Amino acid sequence: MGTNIPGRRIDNGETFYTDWAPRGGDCALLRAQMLVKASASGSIRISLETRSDETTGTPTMDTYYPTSAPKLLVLSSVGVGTAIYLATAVANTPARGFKEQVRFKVTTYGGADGEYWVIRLFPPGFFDNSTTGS
Amino acid sequence: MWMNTQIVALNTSTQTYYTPWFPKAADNAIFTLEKVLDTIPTGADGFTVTVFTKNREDEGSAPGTAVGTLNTALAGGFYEANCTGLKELVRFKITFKATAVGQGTIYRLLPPTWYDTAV
Repeated sequence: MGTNIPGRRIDNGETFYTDWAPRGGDCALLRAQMLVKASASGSIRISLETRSDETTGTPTMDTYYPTSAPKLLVLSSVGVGTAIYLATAVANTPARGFKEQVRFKVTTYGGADGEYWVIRLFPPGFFDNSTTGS
Repeated sequence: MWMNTQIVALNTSTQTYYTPWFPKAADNAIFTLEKVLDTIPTGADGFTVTVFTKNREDEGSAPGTAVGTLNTALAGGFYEANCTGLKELVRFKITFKATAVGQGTIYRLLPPTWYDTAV
């Protein structure tokens, strides 16, 4: 997860996941860029999932930013987008902070047959809270 | 990443300071500011972080070229700036103006997202 995932074409209806990778901190900045949009009104939704080493589940996460649903990174137009995952003092469901492993989930939303997008995922900017969090 | 830094106003005049220059890692970057605590009132000056860039061959301590201000609010104390066309070196300009002595800010700069233009 330390390198970019270069431009990848995503066809409408597709969902893919990256491999699991170790987290680099309790919190992260998630950034991605839409390079091409060949869709009238569809968008790309990118989220992070986290799990501990001893599990095989795929727990979803809630972002700190965006602050309202859907709590994930939505790319609706060409350009770069940001989402923030910020751990809190205690565990949450869905998770807000990272466990040992992290992966991306990328899916299309609201598109039509034949439409596609090209996106790239930047390495998450991991960091830890400097306070215990709220 | 810059660790937490605390700025306390010792007077009410505008103060401007610069960080050291550091090498860019790509042509573009998104920088993120987290204000952990800020008692300086927002307004004409308040607390501002601006990104500057220059080439290694450029002489002198002039500020360089401004390429963005970390004022795009995300949520809470998080702000970002998407800066394109960076030269070889980058640094931050910290400006603040308090309305009373003792006001201050605790902030940090999170890991940048470096990227080159793809299309």
